[in-house]
Order: sequence, then structure tokens, then C-alpha cells
Amino acid sequence: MTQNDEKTNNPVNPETQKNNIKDSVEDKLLTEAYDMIQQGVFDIQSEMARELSMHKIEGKKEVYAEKEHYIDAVMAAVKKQLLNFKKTDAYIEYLKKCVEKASEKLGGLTRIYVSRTDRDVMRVIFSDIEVKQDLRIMLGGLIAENDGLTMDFSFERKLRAEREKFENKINEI
Amino acid sequence: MENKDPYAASFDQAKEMVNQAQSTQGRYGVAATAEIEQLRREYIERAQRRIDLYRENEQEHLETVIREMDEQRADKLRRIKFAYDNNSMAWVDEIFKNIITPD
Repeated sequence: MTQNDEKTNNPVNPETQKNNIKDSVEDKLLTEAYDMIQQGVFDIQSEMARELSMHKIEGKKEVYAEKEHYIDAVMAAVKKQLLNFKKTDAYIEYLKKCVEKASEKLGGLTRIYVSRTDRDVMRVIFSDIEVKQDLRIMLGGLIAENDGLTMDFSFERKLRAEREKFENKINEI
Repeated sequence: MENKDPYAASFDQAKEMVNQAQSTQGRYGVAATAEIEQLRREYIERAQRRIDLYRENEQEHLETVIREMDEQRADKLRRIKFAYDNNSMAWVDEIFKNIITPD
């Protein structure tokens, strides 16, 4: 009798067969459980990361809103001072200095742009230069021009630049 | 007794053996399926316990991180307010001077 015949004639013990099946099922279940845990961990991590990220954004919004509130308050006070300054003789002196400086830097001036309220007085002071109204200038100051080159002394431009600088300063706190 | 064709007799015998085997296998199969189901439930419960534990730990960690972030934010807001309350007039004057200086 060959070895193969022996195998054929001696079938596997049912208990052994059962244990083999059980082992194989357990392997499969272990893999399933491992996958389930991996998926669970991934879901939890994503959920927590989302929650943390939302909280961070909310916090940043709150801080940003608070900073903007203080920056707006400071800039509003500056605007108020500028409006008061415009009512003084020092403002006219300021405009004259701007014209002098621009003329020096640009090698002369062909045109000056001012706000509607400053146009007439500037025409009287600078009779040799064309003075025009510029709708972009509301608060005050001027834009000087010579052959297409300009220098912007408008309060709007300066206020924007100062706000940017001030925002950086507040961000450092 | 009816005489049977030996081929037919051995065919009937084989058929009977197959029926018996199928019946045994069926009974064994039902028992094995129940056992496997029980095993599966146990594995799933254990896995679920591990996941719940992980969630509990992560939640605790997240709450700590959020609490620290809230404290940092509150501190930052306090510092900004303090700086504003103490310097706002100086800031306004400084910005105003920068604007009315022709440069």
C-alpha cells in the first residue's frame, strides 16, 4: 500500500478538521477586527482634527475681530484729528510743503490734484500750476504730477499705509 | 427477494452513503456556523471596545489642547486690550504725525 492510499483510507480526524477550520476562521476574524480598529482610529482622528481645526479658525476669527475693533477705533481717532487739522493754517502749510517737496523731487510740477474742498484755495496759492479736483481724494492732501510722474501725498494713501503698519504692530502683541 | 443488477446495487449503496455524509455535514455545518457567529461577535465587541477606549483618550487629549488654546487666546486678547488702554492716545498721535509729515 502506498502512502497516498494510506491518506485516502485514513480521513482527517473530524476534531482536527474542526480545529483547522476554527483557526482559519479566527485568522479571518482577526484581520476583520484589525481592519475595523484601523478604520475606527482613522475616523476618530479625522473627526478630532476637524473639530480642532474648526476651533482654531473660530479662535482666530475672534482675535482678528477684536484687533480690527481696536485698529478701527485708532484710525477713526486719527481721521478725526486730520479733519480738525484741515481747518487750521497748518494744513495749508502742509500742502505747500508737499508741493515744494514734489517739485524738488520731480524736477518741477505741471499739475496738482486735490479734493473738491481744497481746489479753490490751492488755485489761489499756486496760480502758476494747474490745480484739478480728484475724486479719489476725500480726506485731504494732494497728488503732484510732472510729465506723467506723480507723488501721492493724499491722506487716503497715507492712512492706508499707516493702517498697514499699525496692523503689523498690533499683530506683534 | 428481488435480484438486483450488481451495478444498480452498488449505485444505490453509493447514493445512501452520500445522503448520510450530507446529513452529517449539514448538522456539523449548523453547529460550526453558530460557533463562528459567536466568535465573530466576540471579536467585533473587542475591537469596538478598543475603538471606544481610543476615542475616550483622544477626546480627553483634544479637550486639553482646546483648553490650552482658549487660555492662550484669552491671554492674547487681554494683552491687546491692555496695550490699547495704555497706548491708544500715543498711537493716534504717532500715526497723525506720520501722515502730516510730507515725505
